[in-house]
Formats: sequence, C-alpha cells, structure tokens
Amino acid sequence: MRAIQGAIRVQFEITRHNVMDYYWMLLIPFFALIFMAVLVQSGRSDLLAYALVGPLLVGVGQMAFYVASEVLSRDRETQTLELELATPAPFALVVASRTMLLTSAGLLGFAESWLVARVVFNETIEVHHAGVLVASLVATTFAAAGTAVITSALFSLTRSARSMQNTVTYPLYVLAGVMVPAAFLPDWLEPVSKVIFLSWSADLLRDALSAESVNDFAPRLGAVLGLGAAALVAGSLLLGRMVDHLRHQGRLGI
Amino acid sequence: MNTLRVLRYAFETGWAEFRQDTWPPGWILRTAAQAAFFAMLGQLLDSPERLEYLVIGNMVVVGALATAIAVPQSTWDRFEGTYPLVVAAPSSILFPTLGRTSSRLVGAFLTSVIAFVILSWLFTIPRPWPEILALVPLLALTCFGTYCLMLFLGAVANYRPNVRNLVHNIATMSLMAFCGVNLPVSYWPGWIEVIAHGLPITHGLLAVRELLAGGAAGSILENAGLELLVAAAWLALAALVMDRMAESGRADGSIEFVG
Amino acid sequence: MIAVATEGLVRTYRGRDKRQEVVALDELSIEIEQGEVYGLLGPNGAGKTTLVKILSTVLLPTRGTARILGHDVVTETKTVRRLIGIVFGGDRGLYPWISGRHNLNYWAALYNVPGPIAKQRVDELLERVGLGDRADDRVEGYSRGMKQRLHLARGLVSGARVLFLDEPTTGMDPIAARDFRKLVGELKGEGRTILITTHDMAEAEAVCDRVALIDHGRLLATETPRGLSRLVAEHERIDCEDTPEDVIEYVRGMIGVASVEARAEGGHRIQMGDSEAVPKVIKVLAEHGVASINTSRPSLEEVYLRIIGDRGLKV
Repeated sequence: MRAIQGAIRVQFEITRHNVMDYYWMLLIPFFALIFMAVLVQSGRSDLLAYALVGPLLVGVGQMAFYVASEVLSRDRETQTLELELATPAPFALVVASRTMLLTSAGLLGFAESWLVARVVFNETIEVHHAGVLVASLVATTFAAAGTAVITSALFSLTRSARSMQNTVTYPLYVLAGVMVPAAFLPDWLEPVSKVIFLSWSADLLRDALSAESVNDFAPRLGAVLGLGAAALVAGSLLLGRMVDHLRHQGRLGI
Repeated sequence: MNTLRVLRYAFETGWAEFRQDTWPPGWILRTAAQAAFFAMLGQLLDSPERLEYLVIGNMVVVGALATAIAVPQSTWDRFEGTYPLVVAAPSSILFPTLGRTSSRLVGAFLTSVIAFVILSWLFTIPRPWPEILALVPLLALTCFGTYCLMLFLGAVANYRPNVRNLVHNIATMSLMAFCGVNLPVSYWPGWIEVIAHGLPITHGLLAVRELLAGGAAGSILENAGLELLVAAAWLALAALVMDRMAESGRADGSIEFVG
Repeated sequence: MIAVATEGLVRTYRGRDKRQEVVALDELSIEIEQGEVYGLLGPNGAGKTTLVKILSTVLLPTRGTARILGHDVVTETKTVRRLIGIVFGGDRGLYPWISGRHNLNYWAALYNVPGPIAKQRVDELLERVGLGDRADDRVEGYSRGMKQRLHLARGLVSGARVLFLDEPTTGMDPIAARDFRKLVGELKGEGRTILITTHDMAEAEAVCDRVALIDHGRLLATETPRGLSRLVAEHERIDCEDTPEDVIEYVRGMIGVASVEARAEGGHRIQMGDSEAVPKVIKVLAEHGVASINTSRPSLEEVYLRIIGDRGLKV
C-alpha cells in the first residue's frame, strides 16, 4: 500500500513540473472544436455527444500511449530503474499505479470538450445517466492504465518507441470507433474492435449521454474491466520478462 | 558551392534520422487512419458531399502536416550538443537547419501522394485523368508551404526547446481546424478567416478542391500562386528568426556546451 | 605574437531569482602566446567554460575585450570563427545516426574547407585519432572513448590554429587520457595554440606550458607548473618514514632545514630552506637506517588547494 502511495506521489510530482507530460490535454479542445463545428455546420447538433466522447477518449488514449507508456523508458534514462528493481516493492504494481495516475489525467478531456460545446457553440451536452458515466470513466481509466503497462514494457525495450506510438494510436481510435462508431467500419473489422477496450468505453459513454435507456450496462462495463484486467496481467508478465531480458543483457540502465 | 555541400550533408543527416525513426508500413497505416478518423464524420452524417469534402481535406493535410516534425527537429541540435558548434561555425545557421529538416519535407510529399492514392480508392473519390497529374505539384506546394511555417515555428521554439512538441501539435491542430480542411474557412469569424489566409494549406487545398471538381485553370493557378507567396513569407521569417535566435543566445548566455 | 588576449573581461548573468546578478567573469585579463599550451584550472563554476564560450564567439561579454590573433570576438565574429576549433568533453556534439566520416565531412563543409582538401583532411584525422577502421560506422555504435576522439577530430577539421579544449578528458579512462595528452603534445609541436580547461592536475602538469588558476571569475595566478609550485614552497621537501625521534630533532637543527612536521598519513615531512642542503639531510637519514625517503616539490594539487582553498563538497 505504501509503495502504491509512494509511486503515485512521485509520479504526481514528476508530472506536475513537466508540462510536456500533460500537453496532450491542451490539444483536446481542438479535437472537440473541429468535430463539433462540422456537426453544427451540418445541422446535426443532436450528435454533439459523439464529439465529446471522441476527444475525451483520444485524451485518455494519448495519455496512455505517449505519457504513461514512457514511464519505464524515462526511468532507464535517469538510471532509477535499477534502483526501483532493487527495492522489495512489487514492481508491476508500482508501474500500474503510476500509469493509472497518468491515464486518469485524460479524464480532463470530458470537462474540456463539454466547455467547448457550451462556450463556443452555446450547446449544453446533458448527462442523462450519471452513474453509467462515472462508472464507465473509472473503468476506462483502469483499462487504459493496464494497457499502458504492456506498452511501457514494450517501449522500454525498443529505440523506436516513438514510431510505434505514432503507428498505433490513430488506427486504434478508428478501429475502436471512439468518434464514429465501429459499426460504420466494414463488417470484417468488427471482431477486431471488440477486443479493444476503447470501443466498449465509447459505446457506454455515448449511451450515458443519450436520453435513451442504457442496455446491458453490467456486461458491457465488465468487458471494459475485463479487458483492462487482462491487459494488466499480460503487462505484469511482460514486465517480468522485460526486466529479466535487460538484466541478462546488462542494459537496465542505459 | 559550399552552401550546397552544407545542405547536402545536413540533408543526409536528417534523412538518416528519418529512416531511423520511420517504419514505412506503420507510417502508411497511421497516415490513412488519421485521415479516416476525421473523414468518417461524413459517414456519420450520412452525407456523400460532406464525406468527399472531408476526405479531400484530410488526405491533403495529412501529408503536409508530416512536415510538422521540423519544429522539434529544429531544436535537436540543442539536445545533441551540436548547437554551439553550429553557431560557432563561420557559415549561416540557416543552411544546416534547412538541410536537416528538408528530409522531412521529402517524406511529407511522399506521404501526401500515398495518402491520396489510398484514400481516394477507399472512399471512392473521383480522380479525373489527366487533370489528376496536376495534383502532384499542388501537393508538393502545400507540403512546402506547411514546411516553411514549421521552420519558422521551429526557430521560435528554440527560445523554449522544452515546449517544442506543444508548439508543433498546436500548430498542426490549428491548421486542421481553421484552414478549410474539415469545413470551409468562411465558417469561422472574420478575424480567423483573415489569419487563415496567411497560413499555408488554405490556398493550396482550395486549388486541389478546384482541380478535383474540374474548376477553371485560372483560379487553380491563382490559389497555387497565393500558397507559394505564403510559403515564401514564412521562409523569410524563419531565416530572420533563426539568425536572431543565435544572436540572442549569445547575449543571454543560453547556448550551453553539453558534454 | 599573442594568439589569445582578453582585457578586463566581464560576464554577468541574472541569477535564478532574477534579482541577483551573478558574476561569472570578473575583470579577467590573460595573454596566450602563439604555439603555447595554456591550462585553466579552477573548481566548477569558476568561469572556465564561460571564458571558452566567449572566446569561441558563442557568448558575448558584458564588458571588456577578447581577441583571437588580433581579431575582436564581438566585432569580427566571422573572422574569428574561421580561426578557431572547439572540443568539449563527454560524448555529445555529434550526430548519432550518421558515420564518423560523414560527421567530419559535414563540419568541414560548415567551415568552408574546399572539397578535395576536406576529403584528405578527414581521412588523415580519422587515422590520427585511431578511428580509421570505424570511420564508416554510425556514431551511435561508438564507445564513449571513440566519440571523444571523433569530437577531437571534429575540432581539428577546420585546420584551426587556435584550439579551445573544454575539459576534453571528462570521463576518459587513464589510458585514453594519456593518449589524448600525447595528441595535445603533437598539436603543440605543429605550432597550434591551445587553451585547455581542466580539473585534472596531472593533465595540466603534463601538457601545459603555463597554468592559470581561476576562481569566482578572477585570475588568481598564472605561471609555469613548476613556477606555481614555488608559490607554495620555494624548495623541495623530503618525506621520510619510521624515523627515530632523536634523528628528527637532529635534522630539525641542521642548516638549510626550514621545518619538520609530522604527516597525518604517518612519517614526517622535512621542508627545506636551501636546496643545497638536501644531500646532507638524506645522508643523515640513510646513516641512521631510514629506508623510506622521498624528495618532491609541491604538486599542482597542493598549489590548487592552497590557493583556491579547501571547500570540501560545498558547491
């Protein structure tokens, strides 16, 4: 417990002083502005909730893939990785705590997008199912953190992390239907979208903002949590393999 | 003659970095996905006209915006410890930066062409022949214009190299929002429209839209000319700022020997 | 002819809190003759790198003048840049994704070295610094020592007559550092003027014609290494171990002996007042069975500590 608290506290301090860790969140309003402007100009303000969910999930995704995923590679650069591994604290838990803090920063995208609708377009996006929204947001953050454990292990091993990050993000957002639902993709791609937690999150969040009732909430939320848990387990295993590999090669510190 | 040698070696340095950083299949996948991410709004709106508008805008811009890496790249000398050495060399600081970053311009142009081929096929965008051949110089021009703006921003980013990625991303998103990529420039308030006409992509993209719609050659050429003018202006500003940056660094002591 | 001259050089900065002014160089005046190897010794923050940055035109002075081969670094910047080469320690200052040869070609172009001459010079330099076999490999695969050697080659590619080496052996192992000093000696033999900043006393003693001690931006002393040691003590001293007390008392009273002190590490130090008395003292010690006898002059380290002062770990 103390290790988790310590990890969260140190990551908070590191991130607080480093604007480059949260600059993605400064870009989310642009996404919201572009999508909402297109919808409003087309006379489809009824779809504005889509233009809130899309940027929100892009924010969570960018925090997961660009910031949280670099936790370990930065530790290698500052040569603190070896020191962390030499402590008795469970390493995967420490990493997951730090990624969780960072992905939760992505939730600011909700407020930012909501404000863009209100201030720029004079539209209020209503939250019809607050409980569904909150639960979905928490589950999404957890799943993103779990996914970031996998990617942080992978990225710390490679020199081309940046090109991997650039390759993965937009295809993932399209496949997961974070802005335009995955139902608009060709049928053969649908099974792919179902294994991406973002697609379940996007559907749940859109439903939370819709006046219609939310069907099958529990299993869908379970899908997000389940995919997140699976990612966390896989990430922990991968972390262990990564550390062994680096120890074997004598490359824990760069 | 020597300037050419400087440009050549700097270009080769930048090209080696580009090849190191880039995995072509992944790059193509990302490019197509980025354009599709925005273009698919047209499907959500169930409007073929809107879809075509979005696809054309995004396939042009996704290549041009690949030049945005020139912003952080312009600051890399600082982190590599080569900046004081470049400043202390007798030649102008413009040419090393121009040479190194122009490798990305070549990459951006190739990206534009590939993006057009893939997306026009995916979304069934008309490709009138032989007019479509004129698309190639227009894409090159739009990439060049964006590159010149990014050179300027890269020079400015040298004041605060730590925020280079923020500068480059805000520039990218602003161009996407206001330069006629996803919706007409005229949608925005007058003052934004004025600024947009001084930015790259606005006129080049208009020229592309006119070309694909079978527009008049005169209008296409006029917009191409305006895009070139905008590019030249940003290039001149970039050269000025780069020089000023080096002098200001000498005065305030911000140029460090990084050993 | 004077190769490097500064007069009343001052450089100040705004401190971290922006209200305080930090003086990095304080009325510094030095002269370096052509063909001389001039060492600058001082603690971190003494102003060594600030001086090098001004002389290499990367920093403007607040006041005062600096000239390289008669050309002012502020008003004749372009001319000065053609005359100098810069080498700093560590493994930065190179482009990692291209080869060593490509790096040098690039810098040769920036220094406007004509193509055919550049090609020949690059080949020669790569051989000279021992990188001939790895010249076409990417720098990111070089070891730290190799990068440092390439960096030196980079500083020489322009054919500069005046070289600034800013802590060039930082992080080098003793063998690499020794090879580097040998190279500096060769460069001196070619008539180049070299200003070298260093923490390494052995290096300064080994390669420098003159050494300047600098602290808080001020010049404290400039002398040959031997001359500097005389600032601490005019004559030799004799260190001896396991010397009987009565012999110590006897030596203390001998003509030409200034003092005898016990050393913290054991034994005694006999400070001589007259170098001609040294053989007599040694003879007395040897006759009384003292086996461990060592004569020396104060080292540069002792000079440094005596003049700059012992600040421990304080920054």
